[in-house]
Amino acid sequence: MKFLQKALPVLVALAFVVVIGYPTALLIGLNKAQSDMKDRSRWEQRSVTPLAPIDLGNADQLTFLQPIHNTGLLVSENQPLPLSVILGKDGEQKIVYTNLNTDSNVSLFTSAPLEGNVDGQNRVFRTNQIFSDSPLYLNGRLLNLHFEKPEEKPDGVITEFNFSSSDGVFILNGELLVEGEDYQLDGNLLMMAEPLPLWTSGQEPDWGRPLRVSGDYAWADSQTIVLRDPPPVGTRLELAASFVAWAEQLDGAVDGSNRTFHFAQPRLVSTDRDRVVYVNDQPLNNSGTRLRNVNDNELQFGLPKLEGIIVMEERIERVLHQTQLFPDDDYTIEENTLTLVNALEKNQSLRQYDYLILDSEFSRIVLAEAPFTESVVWTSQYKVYDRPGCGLTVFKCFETLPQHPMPLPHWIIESLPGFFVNNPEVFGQIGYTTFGSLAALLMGGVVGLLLASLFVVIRPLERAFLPWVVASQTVPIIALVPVLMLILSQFGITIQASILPTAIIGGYLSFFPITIGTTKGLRSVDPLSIDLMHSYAANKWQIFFKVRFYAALPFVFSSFKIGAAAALVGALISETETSNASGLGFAILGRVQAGNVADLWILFLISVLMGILFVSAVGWAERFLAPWMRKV
Amino acid sequence: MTDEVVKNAEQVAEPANSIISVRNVNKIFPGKEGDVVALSGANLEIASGEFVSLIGPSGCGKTTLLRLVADLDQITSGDLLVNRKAPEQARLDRDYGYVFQAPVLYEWRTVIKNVELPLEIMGTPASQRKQTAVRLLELVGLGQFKEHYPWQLSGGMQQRVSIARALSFSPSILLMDEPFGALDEITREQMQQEVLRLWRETQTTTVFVTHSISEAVFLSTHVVMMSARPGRITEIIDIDLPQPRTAETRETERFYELVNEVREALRRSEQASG
Repeated sequence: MKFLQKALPVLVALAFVVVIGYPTALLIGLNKAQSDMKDRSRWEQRSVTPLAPIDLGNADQLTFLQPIHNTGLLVSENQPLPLSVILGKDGEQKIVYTNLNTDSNVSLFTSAPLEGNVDGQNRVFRTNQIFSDSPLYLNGRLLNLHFEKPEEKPDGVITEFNFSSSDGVFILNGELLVEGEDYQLDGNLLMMAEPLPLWTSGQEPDWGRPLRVSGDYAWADSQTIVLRDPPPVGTRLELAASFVAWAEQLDGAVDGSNRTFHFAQPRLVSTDRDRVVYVNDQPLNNSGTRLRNVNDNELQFGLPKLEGIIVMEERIERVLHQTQLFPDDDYTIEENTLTLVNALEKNQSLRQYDYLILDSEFSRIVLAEAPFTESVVWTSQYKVYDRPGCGLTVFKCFETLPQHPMPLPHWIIESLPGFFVNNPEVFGQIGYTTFGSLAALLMGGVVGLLLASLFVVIRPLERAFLPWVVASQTVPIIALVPVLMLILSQFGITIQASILPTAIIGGYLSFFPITIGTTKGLRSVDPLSIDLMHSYAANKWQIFFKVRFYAALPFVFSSFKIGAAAALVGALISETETSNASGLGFAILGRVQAGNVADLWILFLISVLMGILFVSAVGWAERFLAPWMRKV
Repeated sequence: MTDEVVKNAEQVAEPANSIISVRNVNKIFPGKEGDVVALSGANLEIASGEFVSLIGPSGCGKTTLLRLVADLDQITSGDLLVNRKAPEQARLDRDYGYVFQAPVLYEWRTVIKNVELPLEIMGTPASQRKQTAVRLLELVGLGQFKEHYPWQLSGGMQQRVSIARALSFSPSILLMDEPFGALDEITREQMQQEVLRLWRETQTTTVFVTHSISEAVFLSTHVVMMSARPGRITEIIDIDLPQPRTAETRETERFYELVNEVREALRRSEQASG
């Protein structure tokens, strides 16, 4: 019980740290983490080797050779599927998903939740997670992401915005713009009825521009999706998070002559380039091989392989357009040379593909070469998304923030040993500042005790000087320090060479409580004690040293406790003000300038402990020098 | 009235050999709302070795009279001699020891150091100081407590230390201002026995201020009645109880008679002043 009473102040301090320290640190830190997550320049790219399912013969089991993901899960009907990890020969790690129900919609991704009503009216949805290039699925169907932003940025005056086309709908801040009411079209030029103010969305100026949505949806800002058509009631919207991967066997006769196969799984990823077709274990070349000119004309090209599908590619407005060319109609082949019927234009090129996904809608893939009989033909789709470098969740980012404006209290404690190892000079600085504070307390103590004694012995002195003692504390110490240093330097006294300036500055702060406290103490004597001394015919000095002095001691010690704290403040201020590298104040100043928040907190903690230690030291001195006061 | 007082005063002692001589002493405290007459025309002669109690209602000037004798306050007019000297001289000669209602022990000094304090001021050598203090502490029954601090003692023990301190320099007069006012009844009676014993052993002339009639009767050789507004001495009653007095003395018929006598005298002086 007695121990509990002694520990009570410590418990209060702990409670204070928990109630104030942690919430404040979390509030500030999470806010910063959130803005860090949005900073795309800090995002990291991750990539994994394409997932090649093996052992496709077993319909209700998918086996992958590598650990396939860190964050994704194979899910079916929103339930994660059971998986087992098997170590194969040569230490190969296999991940096997078992009990696959092939009828169900199995997909390997985690989906991020989308906020927003699916009421047949709403077209705006939000997500907390930041995967602004993640594919969006509507009832399992991948939606087309095509939108355009004009070059012009709203500045409060501009009413016209240039688009490359007028197809699709125009959206501003999630609201569908109405033609004739909100805007008029003149060809591809959109004229707003009223000029758009700067930073319409209140976030980034970039998002305040009208969007032309030509695909199914567009990102209005980094966290808001706007759909071209409001999704009907009962629609399931999913945003793929992390990465998606899928493998399936293609449907079609493998008879040595058939080249056309079908797939059942709709496209999971945004482009068909992410769908890879395999014959047995060999992936086919899905990016194609660019054909090179021969004979310096735009008609004849070299053919690396005899069999292949020839595609003419063309970039218009940064969008790739592909057109399949057919033999005899578009080109002829002689030996290893392809000859076009019509010459290519300047922005056109030829590529040779092993296969072509003709049309996602009809689920048709045409291979350049017919696979041999008994081959297994299958496709996989995968895509790896980049993610915030700090982590996928705000908490993860919070933990890894490079600079915490306010770290969690226990982090400071944890980093203490490392701090002392990396900054051994701090011990010297603590010692120097302790020495400076002691000198300051000595200075303030001598001046304070002297003044108080004079005030009590010679009353008019108190009336003359006490107002000035009080007024001295209204002088901002920060302004006083440079003036004082200037004066002292005239006598050749610098803060680097002498402890005197520190002692004067700290003494200036600490003499005040000591003067006031001691004066009050010397006056606080019980008048009967004095009467008693008179009855012994004691003289003035005997009364002073045998009674007044002792009666004043409790006040003197209390005022020295306040004075000790003030002396430390003075020492630290003098060190920061004068950039005196020997002291702790300079260490703090250096960390402020370097923006080293973590060290700053540790130095703050050290200063606090020093203050507590100084005040306690006065308390110990009191118990040693004035043992009779133990009853208090 | 004045004649009666003078006559009564003569009963206490012949002026020639009185150790405290109060003649027509007035004490006026000047105040913002008019002067306060604390003592008016007081006459009192106390002979050596007497035990005199001052009794009366609050504000009758008992404490004032004691403080005047001790030179803690100064008379406005009249004559006051202590040991045939001016009070200030008597104080400087350390002719008296003073015991307040509160023990007024110096809390930073141990019990023995408190008792030694007057000797310390007088410049007595340390060894002699200690010897005297130990002897006096044993006299008041606190020999075992000499190294304690005052806060470690009970109220009665603290008051005994304060009495020992007042006697430490063997003053010829002991002035006690309601020393047992703050004590409970049982401790009070023990302390009264103690004081009587000390008085017998040290032969010190004692002036004792009290509120308690039975205390005054039990302790004193003479009881001085005082009345308030203005503070005056109204009557002096001889207490002829045999010495030494013990607990049984309180149960004798004479004790009751004297208590009643003092009570009636007090009532008379009240009516006279009222």
